[in-house]
Amino acid sequence: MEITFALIMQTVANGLSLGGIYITIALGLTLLLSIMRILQLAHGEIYMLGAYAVYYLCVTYGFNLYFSIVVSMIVLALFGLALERVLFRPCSSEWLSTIVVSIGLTLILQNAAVKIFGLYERSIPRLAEGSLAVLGIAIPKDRLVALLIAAVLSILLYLFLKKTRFGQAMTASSQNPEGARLRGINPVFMSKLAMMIACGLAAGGGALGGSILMLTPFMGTTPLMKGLTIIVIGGMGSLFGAIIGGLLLGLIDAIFPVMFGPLVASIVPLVIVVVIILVKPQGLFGHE
Amino acid sequence: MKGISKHSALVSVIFVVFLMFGLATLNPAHAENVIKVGTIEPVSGPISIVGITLQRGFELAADAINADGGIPIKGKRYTIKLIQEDSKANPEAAYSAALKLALRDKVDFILGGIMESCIEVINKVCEKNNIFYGQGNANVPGSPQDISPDKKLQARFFPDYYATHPIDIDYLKRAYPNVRTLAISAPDAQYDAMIADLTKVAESKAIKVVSTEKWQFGTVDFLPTFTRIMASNPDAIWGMVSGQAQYELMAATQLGFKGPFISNAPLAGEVFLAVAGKEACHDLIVNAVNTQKTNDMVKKVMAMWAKKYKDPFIADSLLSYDVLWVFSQVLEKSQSFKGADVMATLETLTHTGDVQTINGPGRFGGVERYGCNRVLIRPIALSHFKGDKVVAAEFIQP
Repeated sequence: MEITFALIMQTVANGLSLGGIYITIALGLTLLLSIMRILQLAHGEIYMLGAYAVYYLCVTYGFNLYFSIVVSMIVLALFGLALERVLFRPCSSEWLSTIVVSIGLTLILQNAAVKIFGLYERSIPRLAEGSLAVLGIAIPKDRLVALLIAAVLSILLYLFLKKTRFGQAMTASSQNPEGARLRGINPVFMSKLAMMIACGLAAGGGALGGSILMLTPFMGTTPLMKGLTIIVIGGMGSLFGAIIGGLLLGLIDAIFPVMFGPLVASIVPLVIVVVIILVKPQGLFGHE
Repeated sequence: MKGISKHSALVSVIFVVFLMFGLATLNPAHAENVIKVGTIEPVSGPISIVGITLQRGFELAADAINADGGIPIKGKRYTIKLIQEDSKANPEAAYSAALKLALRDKVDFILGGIMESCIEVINKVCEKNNIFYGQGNANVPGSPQDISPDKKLQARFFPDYYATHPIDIDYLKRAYPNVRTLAISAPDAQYDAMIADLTKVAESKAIKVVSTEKWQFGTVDFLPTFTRIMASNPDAIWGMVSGQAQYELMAATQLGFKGPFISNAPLAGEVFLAVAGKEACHDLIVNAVNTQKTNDMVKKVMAMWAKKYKDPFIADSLLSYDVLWVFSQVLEKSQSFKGADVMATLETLTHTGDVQTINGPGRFGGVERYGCNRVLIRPIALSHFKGDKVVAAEFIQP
């Protein structure tokens, strides 16, 4: 296969859009890890529920797709609030317990999804139809929209964390939990907020992923794996690292299968993870 | 014991034990005029949607056969009792399911199995327990797990995908005379012989295969694969035996592909329309029954489905319906419950029309390729879509 400029540009465009979806998952995961100190392994299932919520709102009840995405994010954010209160807060002092709880939650949500939504393949309408021809390459419009939505969500999160009182409190909580407590920042409230934002973001990511890829009760597994890989690459607790890691992984997933085939592509992220763990265990942008 | 000698008592006990043993080994199902048929499909696991649908096809066929009074064998009519098991799409579970059917349920026959790894273990259990096994699929016809003369009780109630190659290429040439190049997209799974065959058939019709791309099972994003394919600038694309061809088509059209797309999996055109959208289906050729323009048998099965299940009809159910329906015809012609007799009967059903299938008159064949006539040969369904309009819906005899 001849490697042309158009081919490279095509794969880069594909990779950036894929990276956008990964970022929505990774941002939530890293937020939970830094604020609540939990590894939320059921985060992929929140992603899946977000996609199904959009499906029912949009396809079954006929609401506008973008309105459905917003509603889905709000509903799942509230669901996150309930999860924090009922499941994670009671065992927040035990790192291992939260992992066990999140694994159990994964199984419950997956099986409930099979039971309630069924195993039938469903499909969310495209975010946009057709392709955009730029410099001789065709960029699928739905992927472009997905990238834009992911970028908007990331910017909003950044602005929230940097420019608002609650956001700054969350940042302080993640960087120095003890210091934040001494300054009067309520860790329980920060956990609630983190869970809501993370679940809302995952629901948004699920809507984007469900629209571009496919909708099944098991669709959350791959994004979770990608999210965890991104956290290792970008650095645990680093939002900037999650964004860079997401884009990097998206580019790897798009470029390597085209240039070197799918087998090499599946190995490369793992090699990067191993190298980073050996050379810079805190990740590219993480702190000690 | 007064009046009964020790010897008589011993004989009586032995008699009773033998009697009980004999009763236990007698198949009570036959006494009730019931044929026990075990069906194994992946109703859980990654392809559960296919497994559930196939089990439903078996249920509908059993309902229809039983409603007609069952299968006449030696003057009695036998109804079908289905015992359905889950292969979970893995050979260990398929093996356990087959063992349970053979040893605990004592089924007369086992049908189903859609993955080579599962087919292999089901057949092992069947051979060991002298049970006839009718496999419901062969993703890779001619693979070591497929039928062969040395597998004495294994037959295939599903045609070769090879048969679609000349039919589809002929149709492609007729419908799109300007097509000169073809790209093949295929799962990375023992498809090399089929790819070689398709390449040969295409080139015999002056269509050059310019690209062959393989993708791994579990792929959800086909954009990278089709970026490679589109780099070869093909006139047409062939999605080879894939349950995800609808996503392949979507990726192709998103990257600007404007030509005909052929899918030779039995995946309904409606699935493509639902997932990829009607714009993407601008020139779609599929080897699946068209549910809008179709024959009376398909309409009958669809009506039965609508009555029994609340979910929308899925055309995959027609495949397993055909397996059990054709099997019931073979059984009737065989007039025997013995696997060896059923196998011998298959060798005699080699003329078109010897069995009826959903797609039309069928027969058993395969001796040229496999050395035995144990493959169902039936008309191949072909549907041609231009957007949501069906421009052709045919059943073509291979």
